[in-house]
Amino acid sequence: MNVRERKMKARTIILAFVLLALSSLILPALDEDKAPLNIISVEKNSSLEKKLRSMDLDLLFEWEGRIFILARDPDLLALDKLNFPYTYENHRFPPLHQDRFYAQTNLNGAYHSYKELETDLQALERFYPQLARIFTIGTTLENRKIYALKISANVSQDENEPEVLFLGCHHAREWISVEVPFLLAKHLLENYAFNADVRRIVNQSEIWIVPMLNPDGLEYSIHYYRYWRKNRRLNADGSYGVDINRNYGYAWGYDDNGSSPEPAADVYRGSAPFSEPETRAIRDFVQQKHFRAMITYHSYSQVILYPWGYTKTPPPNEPLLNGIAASMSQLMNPVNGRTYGYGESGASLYLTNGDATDWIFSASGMPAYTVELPPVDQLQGGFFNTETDIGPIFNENLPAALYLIDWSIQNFRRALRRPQEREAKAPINKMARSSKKR
Amino acid sequence: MAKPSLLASLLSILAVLSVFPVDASAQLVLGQYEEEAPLRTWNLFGFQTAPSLGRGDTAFTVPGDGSAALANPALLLDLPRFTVTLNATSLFSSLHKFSIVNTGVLSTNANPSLGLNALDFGGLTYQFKGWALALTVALMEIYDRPSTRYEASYNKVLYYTLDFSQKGLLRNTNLSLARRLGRRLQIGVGLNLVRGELKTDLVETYQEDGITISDHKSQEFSGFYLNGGIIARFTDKWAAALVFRSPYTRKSPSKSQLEYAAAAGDTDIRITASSSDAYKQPLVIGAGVSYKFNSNFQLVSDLSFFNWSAYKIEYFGEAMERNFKDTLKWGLGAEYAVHLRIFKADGIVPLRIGAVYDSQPMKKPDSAYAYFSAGTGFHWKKIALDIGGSFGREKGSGNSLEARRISLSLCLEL
Repeated sequence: MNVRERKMKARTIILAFVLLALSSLILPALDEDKAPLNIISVEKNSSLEKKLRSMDLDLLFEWEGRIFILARDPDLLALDKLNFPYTYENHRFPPLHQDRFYAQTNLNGAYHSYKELETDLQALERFYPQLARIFTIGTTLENRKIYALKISANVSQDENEPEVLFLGCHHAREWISVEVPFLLAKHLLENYAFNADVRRIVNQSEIWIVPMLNPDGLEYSIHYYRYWRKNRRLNADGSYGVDINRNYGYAWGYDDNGSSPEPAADVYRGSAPFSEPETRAIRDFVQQKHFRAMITYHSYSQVILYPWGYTKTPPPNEPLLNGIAASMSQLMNPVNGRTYGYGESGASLYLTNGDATDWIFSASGMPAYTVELPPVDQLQGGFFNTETDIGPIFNENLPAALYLIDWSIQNFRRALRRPQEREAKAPINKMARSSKKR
Repeated sequence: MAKPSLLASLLSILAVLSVFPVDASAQLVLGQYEEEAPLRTWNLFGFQTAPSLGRGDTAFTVPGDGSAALANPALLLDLPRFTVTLNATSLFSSLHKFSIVNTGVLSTNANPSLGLNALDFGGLTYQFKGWALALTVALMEIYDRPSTRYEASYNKVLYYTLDFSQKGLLRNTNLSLARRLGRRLQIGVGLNLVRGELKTDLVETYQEDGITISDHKSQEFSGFYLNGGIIARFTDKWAAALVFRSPYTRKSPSKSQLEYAAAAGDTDIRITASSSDAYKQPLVIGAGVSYKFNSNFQLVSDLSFFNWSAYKIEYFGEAMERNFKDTLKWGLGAEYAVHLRIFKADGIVPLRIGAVYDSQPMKKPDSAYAYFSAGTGFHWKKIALDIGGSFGREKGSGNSLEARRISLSLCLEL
């Protein structure tokens, strides 16, 4: 090897070394801890379990005869080598925006903006395809979609089950009213596999959740003016907004106390009943379905209200409405110690005409409630809630929502039984009648 | 020895300029103005000192003063060997919709307006053996809005107040270099550093309950971009230029605090946010042409294309939809030089007129400003003092917005 060849060889070695060094900088290290995590399940039987326990796997829990395991790719390879049958269960554990409580890069903090809600609803649908499906029930003036999430076993089918409706965000500034129905959806889906009560009510009902009825107003509330209430209708006089909870068709414009004819007013009822795309969306949606009960979430006051809102005259069936409200209030109190008052809307809080609860009650007779979420008054925050209070407020509202769904299921069954009972009696009557004819 | 001290003092002026506050004598606000919308027009490229302002915003082919560094740095070679330029501006804009004004919360019977006075440009230029160098500082964009206060009383007792204010600006520091390439061709390029800020405050108080609701947002801007140009003088009469401003990302660390305080309830609820945002500014390209009828009279025209369809912003972590369209700004101007002899020295009084069509990037409303401008000056020995003004009216939004601007500039040959 001459001098030149030696130099060439030395250069080659140095070059190779430099390239190696550079590649170690450029290429990411394949750290085992960074390998993707999977959740799998295997059938629980004694022989397999023995093998499994010897493999040093991260066993999570047992449920319905299967063992759930946290597994990385090398673990899966090991199971494959042993011909160990397993099922991927990742879809049961969706990565929602859990980090939002900590990141807080956005103006709305832990509360949902329209796009964030859209993303989270899509995530729920994606991870629970058998249980959740998104429907668009309308489009707003600013071309945002009004989403309804249906939750039910066999979600793609329209089954003969009681339907229950939960609405949020009629009023833009009531940010907490988006979170409670959304978290209800999340709770039902995430606990379906593990909680027998949740599974039962999801199996036996069709739960419809419309968490953000007024996305246009909400976006204005986030970006420009926190206390914005109405939608974003440009009125004839140049003012903006219709109070969509004064725009429904029952007792619309009954008087000027429960709503206002003035376009600039916060409680402007609009130019006509159902003049707004948001209320039309709810009207058409409700008319297509056969809802058995409904809650529309608002804030603030910490009360449960039932019809009527437009008058202080008691509604038909008040004992039933009052009884359900009382039960819900009793279930809510122990969770955080907050007491939710209850009563007829017009008599308990203030007069409202053209609101959702009155219209739905008048159209179907179903129990329909406005739940005014905490705080109790302006000095405690008014339309503001701390981000850390979202969870507690939802938690105390959860038993009430579950109770209402369960009540709908029981009521539906009773209603089914009645015609059967009538049919069972009918032949005797017919026979009796025919014998008389004879 | 005199020159270095003069230079030092001029550099001091530049340094002062870079932190000079804008004197904003706000009246009220108006407009289809997004928060980041510069006052008057979105289409800001180059910098119009008095000579170019009076000539219909034309600056790509005609050397005026140190502001050439921002419009077409190739023109720096046509300036005297050593110049210093200062420019002061008084501008007035009317707006209709901005923030909470005329968007639902507060409404006005007429267009709110804002008047501003600012020392907005300073620059040094130097050339030597076919090279030219410039250092300039310019107040490129202003984001101020008319400050607004609303009060409500009952039985002559004040029970509610609402205050809105927005202030902001963007300064541009430019270092340019130009080179002569033969007798008829010149080329120049500039490196630009932009820095600025934008603050918005909205405070409501309910006096009786002692409740205060406040919403504070602040952003800082920084970014780099290149600008450049080339000018060709085909004959002694005809000249043409091509110019550009590179697209660039304006970084924007943003902070926000929304607060609800009610002392009587011992309530203090805050939602704070901080984010590293970005404004992707569009490419701008332009072309200019000028024709000299004789040594005293010339016609000039500039056309600029703003690639606003590529404009993207991320605001507190959220991609915001602006949905802009590309725009064109077209300026046409004429300049006639009247020669005088004063105190045994030749002087020139330039007379300028111009017109500008300036389409705005919003698709709804599809609007554009039309400006008419005029200007004059007095150039004597090594001093050039110019004044220019423009009056513009917007069409398309239905609000007939107005924009007026008067600039006074001084260019000294040292």
